[in-house]
Amino acid sequence: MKRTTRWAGGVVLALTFMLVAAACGNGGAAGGGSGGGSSFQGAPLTGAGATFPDPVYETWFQDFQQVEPNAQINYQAIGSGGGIEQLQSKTVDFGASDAPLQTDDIKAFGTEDVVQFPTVIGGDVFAYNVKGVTQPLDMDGPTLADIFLGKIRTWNDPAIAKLNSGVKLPNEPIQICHRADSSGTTFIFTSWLSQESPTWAKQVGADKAVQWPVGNGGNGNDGVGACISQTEGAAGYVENQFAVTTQLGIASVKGKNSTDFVAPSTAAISAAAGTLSLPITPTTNILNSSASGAYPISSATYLLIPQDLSSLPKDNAQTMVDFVYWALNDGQSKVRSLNYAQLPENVRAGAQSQLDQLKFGQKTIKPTPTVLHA
Amino acid sequence: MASTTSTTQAKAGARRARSRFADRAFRTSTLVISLGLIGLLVFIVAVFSGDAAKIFHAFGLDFITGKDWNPVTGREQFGALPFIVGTVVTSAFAIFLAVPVAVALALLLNEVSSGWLRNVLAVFVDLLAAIPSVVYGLWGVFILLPVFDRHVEPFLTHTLGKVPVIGALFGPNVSGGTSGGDVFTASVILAIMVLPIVTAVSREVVAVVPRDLREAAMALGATRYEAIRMAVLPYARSGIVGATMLGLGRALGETIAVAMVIGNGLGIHASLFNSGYTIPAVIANEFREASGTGLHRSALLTLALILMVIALVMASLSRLLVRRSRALVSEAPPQEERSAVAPEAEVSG
Repeated sequence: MKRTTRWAGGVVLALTFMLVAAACGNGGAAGGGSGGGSSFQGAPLTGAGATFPDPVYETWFQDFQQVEPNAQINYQAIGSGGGIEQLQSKTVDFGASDAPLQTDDIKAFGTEDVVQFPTVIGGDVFAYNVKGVTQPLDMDGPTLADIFLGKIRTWNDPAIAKLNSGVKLPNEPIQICHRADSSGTTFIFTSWLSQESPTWAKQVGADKAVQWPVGNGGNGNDGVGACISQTEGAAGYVENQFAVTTQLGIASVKGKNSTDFVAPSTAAISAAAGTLSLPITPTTNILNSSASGAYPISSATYLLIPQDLSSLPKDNAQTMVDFVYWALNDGQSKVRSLNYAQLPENVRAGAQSQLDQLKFGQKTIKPTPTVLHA
Repeated sequence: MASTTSTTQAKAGARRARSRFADRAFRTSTLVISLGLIGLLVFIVAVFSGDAAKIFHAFGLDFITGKDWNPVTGREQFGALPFIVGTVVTSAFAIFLAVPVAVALALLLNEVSSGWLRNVLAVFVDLLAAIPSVVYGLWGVFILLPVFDRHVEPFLTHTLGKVPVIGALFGPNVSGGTSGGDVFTASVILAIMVLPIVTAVSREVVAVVPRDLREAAMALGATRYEAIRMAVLPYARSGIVGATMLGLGRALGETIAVAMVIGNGLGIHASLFNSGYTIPAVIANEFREASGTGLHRSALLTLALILMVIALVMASLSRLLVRRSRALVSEAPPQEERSAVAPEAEVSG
């Protein structure tokens, strides 16, 4: 009897809590709806796309909720292609892609315009696991292309030795590890190899997935990372942000327009984006950037947002604009601690001025004062 | 007395009517369910066949015999041979490794061991079945693969690799070094994964072998091993073949664990110590970014259809094998024995 009473009491207590919580939630939403009052509370959004910036985006979404508590942003890292398709079919509010929209993609959007905002910069690094080699190796484009073409098969090949005088290279076979899944990382790396080596461009080409002449495929950066660290003499390409957290050797790379070997660092990758011009076109890229100190295999990643947001409820459209503004300002300062490279100031400012293009019907949406002063 | 009989009869009649209705309801519902299942299969094939038509129109039979798989826009070329070979070879080798162990385990559990060992073993084998395949994959990548690469595979190359004919299977890796993912490791992982299902079914099959058969063999002076070989195994053969095919089905369709350890390389090599690729692995790896505009997605869907055809061929083969070995067995035991151990025959009759 006594036990029953206590149990019932627990239920009543729990129900009370739920009611109070619900009431608070409603109050918050009402505050958001009124807008003009104390401060805008935001509204939920959904997005899908690139996996590469996912860690940054997830951090941003969480931190942004401190500015607009009701801005629950649900992002699915399903890959750039999936993000573009979901945005086309209107199942998400915004997309994200590691590559600029291609002509075919833009055609598929029909009359709808999509604004592309660069958010963070990434770089592909050449990582390796060679016994006894402790200092960073130097590599150039033609040599890397020949390694991935299977023409250079051992670590002490004269082509590698020539670039690394003074390094004792073992007579060990090179085991190539590449991505097995389609990915923006592969797109960037193969695009760069195509710029560097006519043979590569002719024989393999550039895409999110290619027919690799040699090597083993791993799934994701983790798969390639595991492949390299598990296999003696292995080499492959991974995202810089992934590579810095592993114990792998990382090469300094020289692009065809440069005379210096540049080590991939967030600063060098950031610098490469100095030449990024807005608006983004299908051919936009920052490979072999002429900016000083630039790492040659760098690339921007983009948020894709419909230019006319009137298909969304007004509060959601407002939240979208607020979030992009916040990401391009406060958000940027959080990027480096996650081992990503932030936008250089000129690109950041350019991207911010693109915000004017986002409209609700005919009306430009201005970021709310809360965000401006956050 | 008479009235009692009539009420009993009336009751029986009502019961019969009710059971007739229940029978009909049962028959209808099972019919609907099984037709639904067939319909689902037809629907899946129909969906895939549109894409398959596109692919075969573009590449013809080259899609099956071709070795190029190039998804690069503008130079698309799709050939499924490396995946077909990889799927069949890994599954076949896995079955080759797993079935003897599974049968031995089934015999051990039923015929040899008793008491606590049997219980413990049975629980552990069943536990193997409960491990998710991605865990097998992780274990394969980080523990099994390095050991195989550095120790097992070089050892096999130096020993089995020297044997004529089968030596080619154990030749050195094409790169001359370690593989970092190969067909052999994938097959071993698959073998471990199919082991529980083959063992479980074989165990049940061995358990229903009539005691009389064993006792008769023993009475004639057979040792325990001879009794197993001459009485138990022939009787259980059809069931073991069925168990094997069940395992093969599992092996053919296994995706993530294989994708993690097989190396995902396109080449077709005689040596098992080279990387390979299977149909489920390539679908899992590439579907995310396979664009709907080009042929890439259609090529992947056509691969799925080919996998279904392979599975169908295997299933039909297994039915044939089971029927044949059942026919062989039925000659051995006497008539009444057979009906006693095969109650399903009575039910269906």
